[in-house]
Amino acid sequence: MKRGDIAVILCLLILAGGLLLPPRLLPPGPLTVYVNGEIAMKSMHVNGAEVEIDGGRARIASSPCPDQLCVHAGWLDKPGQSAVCLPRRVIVELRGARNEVDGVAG
Amino acid sequence: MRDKPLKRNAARLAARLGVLSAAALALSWLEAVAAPFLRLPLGAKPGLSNIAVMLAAAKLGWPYGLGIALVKAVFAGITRGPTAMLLSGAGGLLSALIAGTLLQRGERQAAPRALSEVGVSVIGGVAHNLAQLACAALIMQTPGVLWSAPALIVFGVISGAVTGMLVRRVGKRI
Repeated sequence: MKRGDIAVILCLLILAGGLLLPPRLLPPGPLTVYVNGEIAMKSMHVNGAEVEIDGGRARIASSPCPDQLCVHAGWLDKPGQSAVCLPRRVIVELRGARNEVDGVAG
Repeated sequence: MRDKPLKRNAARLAARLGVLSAAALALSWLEAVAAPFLRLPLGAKPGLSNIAVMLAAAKLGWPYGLGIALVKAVFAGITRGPTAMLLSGAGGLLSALIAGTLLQRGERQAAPRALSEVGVSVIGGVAHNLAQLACAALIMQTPGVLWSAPALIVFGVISGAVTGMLVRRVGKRI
């Protein structure tokens, strides 16, 4: 290991830490569930995947995809969290108050 | 009595490329088998097959690193489908380019280089993961997946450091 190696590793870890901040700075508020970019209020099936919505939390309960990464993502209950199923093209996101306003304006 | 140098080099190059391609595919397979037991979030993998890509890029030149990355992507396409091929290709080609330029330039320079294999591999690992994330965002047509960038940067640093140390050890012996 050289000094440059350690500098590179530190810079990248600081960058990762900095990127973690913005979602935490959002004001707490009601969470909205988005399925493939659209507001979803109740459980549904999308592209063969079963999206379960329960109050302010959501998850992909089952999917016919091979790797099951989206199912292993589990329940989403914080703003900015998402469960993504690439093979079935399903994305479930939780967005907080500020994102919601942006959605209406845009 | 000696072989002509050109012929001998061509044979040596072909043999090395064959061995590195085989090693890349064997390590890819090993990772695919081990992944369900590791249970890493976001489908992260240790990236051991990139040892072969880095060695090819560093010892033979970046075009050969790209070649091994391409072989890996096709293998991913055959075994895991078109999405996996696209993601493997995006990450593999970018990290092969980075490893090739940084490592080779270092070997030609007289002055000591600032980064060892570990630092180059860390940069390659993070670039690999971010390229895959950008691809995923394009496929899904939403920036929502970008929320996982911090975790993928950390995974890239860890797996890059581990593969970098292995590349250094193996590289001294071939």
